[in-house]
Amino acid sequence: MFGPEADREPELPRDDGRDRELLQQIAGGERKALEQLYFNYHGRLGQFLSRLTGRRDAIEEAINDTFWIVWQKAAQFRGDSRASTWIMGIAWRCGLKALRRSGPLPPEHGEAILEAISSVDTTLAAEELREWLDSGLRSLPFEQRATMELAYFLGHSCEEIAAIMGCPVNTVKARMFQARIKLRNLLPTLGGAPSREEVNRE
Amino acid sequence: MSNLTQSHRHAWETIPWILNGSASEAQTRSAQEHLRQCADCREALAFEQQLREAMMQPQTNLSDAEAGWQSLCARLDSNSASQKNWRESSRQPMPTPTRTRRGISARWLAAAVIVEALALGAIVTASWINGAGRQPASEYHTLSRPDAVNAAPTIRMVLVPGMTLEQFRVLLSNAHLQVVAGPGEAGVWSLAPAEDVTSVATEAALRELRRNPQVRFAEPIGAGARASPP
Repeated sequence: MFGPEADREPELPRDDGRDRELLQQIAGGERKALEQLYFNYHGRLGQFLSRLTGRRDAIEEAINDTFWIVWQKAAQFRGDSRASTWIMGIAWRCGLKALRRSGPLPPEHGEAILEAISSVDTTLAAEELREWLDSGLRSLPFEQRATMELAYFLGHSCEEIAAIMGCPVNTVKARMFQARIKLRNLLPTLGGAPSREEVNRE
Repeated sequence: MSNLTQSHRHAWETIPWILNGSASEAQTRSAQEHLRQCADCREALAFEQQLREAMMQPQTNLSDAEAGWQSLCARLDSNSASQKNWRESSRQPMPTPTRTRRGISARWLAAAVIVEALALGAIVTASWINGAGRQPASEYHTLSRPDAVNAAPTIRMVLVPGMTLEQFRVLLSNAHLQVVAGPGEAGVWSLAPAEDVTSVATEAALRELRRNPQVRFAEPIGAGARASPP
């Protein structure tokens, strides 16, 4: 039903034993372990934060702050969540702080998004597709955009996103619901996605 | 989305979590059953799948990981150096106590005062309980303060020169007498019976004094004079 793409493993492995080991070593003051964790997470954090702020200096500052705190607080990781959830929670708060200092990207108006979308060929190149998607995501409120990122890009569960963002699970569900509705209206033929008629004919 | 039934809404809400692999087995099975019958949800699933694929495309303008790591290392080194300096400086005697140390000292002082007050209270209470009906303590005497002598002199005595202090003490002790005054300008000592001796013993005291060759003169005073002429 969902096809091979749907069966693909999420971005973050469910068994995060290696991350836990690294956190234990970091708690013991091993900088080599911090280095490994840093490079394991840098790409994910950079992409997650880049969609939140789009400002390179703020991204670097947030990543630096995140691993600074990981270095200081690794001993406080109790293991009652995935290590990635704990780290992303820190990254989320550091991202918010960096945003407050540097300011977020201004949200794009719905009309501009619709105009951009209508001018895009349905056979989009990967680069164009990403830009199109980025425009759509930037039209979302900040928290909705982050929720989409945490779910689709980083593969966190609803409960984990609630823990990362420090909000109730129902708030995560509501943000996800509203974000999907809005993107569904803004990006009707995303990347050559089948239209409703095509789906119905299957 | 206007005619959402409960199962339709449940399936629609579950789609992201099915796609990212975090939905439970029961949630996935329930959503699959609904999707077989619901074109809207199948369309939503296809769209969300595309959306997720697009979101997972790598970004191009990410920060440089190596440069970021070096920046973090510099920050860690700087902090380590600061902490080392702080530890070394903290080993030096402080000219004035820190706020924290003052706070700790104040708390210890307060605790000591409380303990002392409790101890004193316990002692006073114990003394009050144990001391009920007890005789009052004897009056305190300093060495420089002469014993109060209430007895009136009963004997006057003149000594031969050359008597030692020890001979004088033995003389008085044997006669059960004490000095009330003297010696005067003529070398006369005024003596009275010791505290535990009644006036009846004056005659015996005179006999004891007169028997000693170093006593030149010993005479009763007042009633004692009438009682026993030498």
